[in-house]
Amino acid sequence: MTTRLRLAALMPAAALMIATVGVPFVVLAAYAFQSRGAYGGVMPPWTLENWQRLADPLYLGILLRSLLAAALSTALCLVMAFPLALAITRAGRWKNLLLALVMLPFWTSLLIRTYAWMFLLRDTGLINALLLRAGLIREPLPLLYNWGAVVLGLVYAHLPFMVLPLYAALERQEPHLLEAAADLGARHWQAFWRITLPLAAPGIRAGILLVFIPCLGAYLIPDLLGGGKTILAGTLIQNQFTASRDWPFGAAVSLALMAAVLALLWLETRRREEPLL
Amino acid sequence: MSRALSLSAVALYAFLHAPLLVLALFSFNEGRLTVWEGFSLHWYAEAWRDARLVEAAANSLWIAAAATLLATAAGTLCAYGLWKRESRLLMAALTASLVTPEIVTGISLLALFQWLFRYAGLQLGLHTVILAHVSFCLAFVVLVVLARLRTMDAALEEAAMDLGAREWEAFVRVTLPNLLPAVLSAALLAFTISFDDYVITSLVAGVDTETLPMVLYAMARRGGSPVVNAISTVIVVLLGAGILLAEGLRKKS
Amino acid sequence: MGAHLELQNLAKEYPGHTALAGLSVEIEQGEFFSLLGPSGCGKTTTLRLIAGFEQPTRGHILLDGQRLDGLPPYARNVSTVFQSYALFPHLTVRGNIEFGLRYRNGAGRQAMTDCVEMLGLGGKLDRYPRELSGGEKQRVALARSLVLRPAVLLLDEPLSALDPNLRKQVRAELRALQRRVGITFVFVTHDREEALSLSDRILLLKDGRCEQLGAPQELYQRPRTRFAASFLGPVNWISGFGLRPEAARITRTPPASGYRSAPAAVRASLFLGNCVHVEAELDGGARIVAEISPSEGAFRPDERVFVCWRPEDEIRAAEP
Repeated sequence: MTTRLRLAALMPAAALMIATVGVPFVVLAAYAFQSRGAYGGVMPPWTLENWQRLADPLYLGILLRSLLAAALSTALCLVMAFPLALAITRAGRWKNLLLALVMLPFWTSLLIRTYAWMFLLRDTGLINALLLRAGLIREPLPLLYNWGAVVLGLVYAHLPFMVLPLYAALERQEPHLLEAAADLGARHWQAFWRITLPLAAPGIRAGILLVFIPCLGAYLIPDLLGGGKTILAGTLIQNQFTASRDWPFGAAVSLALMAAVLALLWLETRRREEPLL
Repeated sequence: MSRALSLSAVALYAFLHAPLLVLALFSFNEGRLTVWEGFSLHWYAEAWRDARLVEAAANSLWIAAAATLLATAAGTLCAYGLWKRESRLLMAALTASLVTPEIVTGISLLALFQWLFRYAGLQLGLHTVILAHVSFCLAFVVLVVLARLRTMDAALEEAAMDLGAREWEAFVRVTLPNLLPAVLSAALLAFTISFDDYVITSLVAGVDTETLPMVLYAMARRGGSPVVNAISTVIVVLLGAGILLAEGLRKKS
Repeated sequence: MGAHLELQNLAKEYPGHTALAGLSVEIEQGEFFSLLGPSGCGKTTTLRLIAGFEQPTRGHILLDGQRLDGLPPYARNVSTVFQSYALFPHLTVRGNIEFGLRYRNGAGRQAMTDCVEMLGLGGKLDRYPRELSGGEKQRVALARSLVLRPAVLLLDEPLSALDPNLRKQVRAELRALQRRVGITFVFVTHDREEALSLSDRILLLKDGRCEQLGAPQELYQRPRTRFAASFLGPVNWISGFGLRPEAARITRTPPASGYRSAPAAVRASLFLGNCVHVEAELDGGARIVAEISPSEGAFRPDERVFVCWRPEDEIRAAEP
């Protein structure tokens, strides 16, 4: 293809990326080093104060809590997704249907899937209603608006992202390998530990990345299921641009979050032979 | 071993699908509470009578349609250009747009628009929402179309040109028809993502524009109502039907 | 003392398909035993039943008088060399060879050193399978199994993944290896040359049944059925009997006593380097191919000749 035609094909996307990814990044970076304006916005002088505030125990705690919530959700996703992916690889002709059933929630609205859990967990929700009616409890259990609900929501929303790369890695394994392991004297769990698991490692790493990154920056799920009580990084950023009207600090938190995400991505893609996406 | 595996798989499928099924079930409940009081469609009727909801839904459809069209066109061309020759910079920008947390995308676009408005005197509204949506849908489209292109034989286009087609003719008459199923599923993905978005939209919509997720979000934050169940069910069913349709088209071609 | 490895009326049935229909055979200690047959004849199924990857529908497998059937694969003192080799891609050559040592006691460091030396893998121990040639992969697969000193080594078409030039060389090495280690080999193949050149005895399988069992010469020269005759080598069918191409002579004059003969006309002659294939049409109408030495002279199309053979070379096979 001539260079001219290729450039023409790339032009709309490139222009869009420059305008909506490149320029905003520069604007955000410029905000992060200035002072807050009285009614939002920014004003001189240039300062490092926003970055120093990140080390404040209050905000450091929020960032650490976000990391912890993301790590916990990722670990739970891994533990749940592994048997699921393994079961799908062994499902024979049902494989495609089972895979589609994992993908299906991915195609339905995140907002609605999160609301579904509010519907189940709230004081007047289905679980409390059933428990009350069964006489097992007298007062509704406080299931919603807490840490557990947030992690549950994160796991629920991101489970498919873990299942798919795991499935791809497990599906690629030559079926005779497990027979060979048994043939050489390994029991089922020994073969799992020494063959299946190490060979699934690229899938595990990809899955961890695909779950951890969106969990780290999640806003909607912590906001709805945490009820504003469990502040994570996403909520912190949002607050700075709305209620607190501290744009420079919000920009600094955003850049810190982005730096964490890109560092993770870089670490993983550096050691991969095949593309992650 | 395999029995334990099957059991855990069944449990996990229940975990994945039961919440939405229960949600849909109670949209047909007569009463407001989470106790079954008989079948009724009146929550659907109530949603339909709510002018704010209907207007928000119309906005959402309009935004999603426009964003899908633009993102699919730009994304398909972009994937084609990248297939011909890699561009590390553009790929990096697309990857960055894909992994950026929504809230960060939202506030960075908001910062951009505010900064622009100071100099150009523009207002937040439908147009800023559409631009934002095209932006975050683009990477998904490129990804889907590029994946399909990578499985395609480069000799097809060469054969077309060997038989006298110009480059753009080879693209239009040979590459594009082979690419159409992927373009279609990319468009559907873009539509879903756009139609569903709350976080970015709420930040760049300004005060006068409201989309369906924004209304649903506000209702959910107030504790929800069976009307939310009803709207959710409609959305899930329509999106599901769209996916089945697209999948059917893809299989047929 | 009974047989070393004994299959008793072994059968494997799948829904709507019988893979193995009651096979009984006794294999001696130290024997190179081949299972030969076309695809789908049940030879790989037999191997997988012995290894324990599949359970028989009926029948028993005995190793030195002990029943193997019912035991899981990891508890059987037999080992398999897979057609694809099934080398663990995430382990080095060393890791692959050491894999089973953890579970099977008796074999140790010394066995490892011996095996590596015997198979010439000394310089490759730290390579990964993807860095090995086809022949090297095969030797790693052999080493991985042999290091455990199994009572029986099962080989599932281990030569089929190699390129044709390498195959003949590896064939000779395999035979020498078996002599050296003295382990019973059960070798599955669909290649008659492999089976004939390697085996002490061959079991020819067809549709999950034993077609014929015997030494290579016996199967080649005294096949009991037409199928066996054809599967083990080219054969000309002349009214009532069969004749191998190399058993047929072509002469211009009637043959000496001790030969039978039939008048014929040469139809074509094909020079193949080490031999000549002469295609002749008997006066009765049958067409035959004779494989003769180039020194026996050249024959032109339409030349009148005699096709002769010794009566003891006639293959009297049952139909079909």
